[in-house]
Amino acid sequence: MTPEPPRTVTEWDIQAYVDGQLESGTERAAAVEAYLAANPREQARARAYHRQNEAIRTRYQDVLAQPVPERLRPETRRAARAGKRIPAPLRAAAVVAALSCAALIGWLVGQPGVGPLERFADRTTGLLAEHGGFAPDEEADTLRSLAALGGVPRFDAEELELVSTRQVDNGDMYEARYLGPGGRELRLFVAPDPQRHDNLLYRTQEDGSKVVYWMQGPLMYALTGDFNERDLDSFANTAIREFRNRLDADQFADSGGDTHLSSGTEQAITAPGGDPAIPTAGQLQTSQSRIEEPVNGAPQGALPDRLPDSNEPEAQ
Amino acid sequence: LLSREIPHLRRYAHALAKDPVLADDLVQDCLERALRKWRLWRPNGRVRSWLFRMLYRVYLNQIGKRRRDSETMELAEIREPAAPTAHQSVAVEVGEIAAAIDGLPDDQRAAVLLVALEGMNYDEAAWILDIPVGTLRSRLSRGREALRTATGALEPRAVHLRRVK
Repeated sequence: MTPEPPRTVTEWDIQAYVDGQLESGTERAAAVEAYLAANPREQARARAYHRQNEAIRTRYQDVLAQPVPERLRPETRRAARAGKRIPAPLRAAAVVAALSCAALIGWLVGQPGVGPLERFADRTTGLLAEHGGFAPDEEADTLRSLAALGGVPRFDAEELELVSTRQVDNGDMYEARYLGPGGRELRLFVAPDPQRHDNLLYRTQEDGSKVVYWMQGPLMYALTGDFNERDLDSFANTAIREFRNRLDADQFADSGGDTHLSSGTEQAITAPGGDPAIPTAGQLQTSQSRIEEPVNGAPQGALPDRLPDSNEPEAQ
Repeated sequence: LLSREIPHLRRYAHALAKDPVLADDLVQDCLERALRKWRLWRPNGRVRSWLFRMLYRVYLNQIGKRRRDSETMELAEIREPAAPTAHQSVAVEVGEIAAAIDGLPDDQRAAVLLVALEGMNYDEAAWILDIPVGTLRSRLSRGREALRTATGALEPRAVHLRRVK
């Protein structure tokens, strides 16, 4: 039997070896060590990388040894949060109101607590600072994936042109970028897998950037960009209407052209203060009271440092 | 758990921001966000990863905000890599490497610091930076080679994925 030829040593193996990410004594680590021993130039390079790591740790070791400033201590932060609380009588009233809202929301969505849409919104706000990184060679794949999910909306009437798409959040989400007159930018984020449907528009913001998000069909959407809330609401309604029309067309085709709209597709979604010209048959609900709450409404006094730890990074 | 991570968050923030006051502002924003969003943390995740990812997002937001606020700030963000110095021995001084790392592009610096300074494994670091592991490895490789070149340890060398045996 012919022995299996040794695997090649790659640049990434060398990097992993330098970083101690190859378990000592394994076949891979041994292969790298043998390779370095036989290649003095590469060994010198690996040593240089080792020295870099040591130098970086040495440079910042004093920060680790410094006492934590008062303002960063957990008890200080909790006290600061507690200080923002409203007076006790009002707080009691607020608790009653919050419980009522929670009950109503729970009844509406059938799933109280943080759901996929809230996580999606949080991931979206985390991406707001990222611009660029659009890879032309990946755009065709991204567009195909988006088409399979139902495509991206067009905003022709708003004079917005789709200029690029990309995958974000490790490929779990997609981003489409539109440009309008004056270089104003609109960013659409799309992710699959909502587990509930509620016909609501939600809003949140991050560092002053407004975000409107919602779920429809098998997808979750978020819109943000160089526009005010009212514009974003209007764009959202355009997207919702387009998706609904595509859904209707698909159903019509599937049924041989002789089907009626389901009750779900008859529902239009609109936001408070939305364009009155937009058809709004069916359920019409506002989300003012729910803005921010699903994402930012952590209870007072909740302590993350009491939560259990584990060895796995957080799932997406 | 939170208290235990604060010194590490501060160290990474200091290395990222290069300004002690700004760094502590980043950590403070991160902690406030953590207290506000603790419900989004999943019990099967590591608190450390979750906090570092939040810190990095706060950092990106601040960079973006500064760039939006001022065109001149955007120009100031462009850093030239440190020039190689002549007649250096292979033994590179800590100070020279430390200076050179400030000249790395932001994305490479963030990756190198997470792995070299905080000892994150590649999967964890990629998750924190919200990039694929392959991208992280490429940034590490490019960043390290840039450091080696900048500190004059050896002649510049093309860095790319290749088979070496």
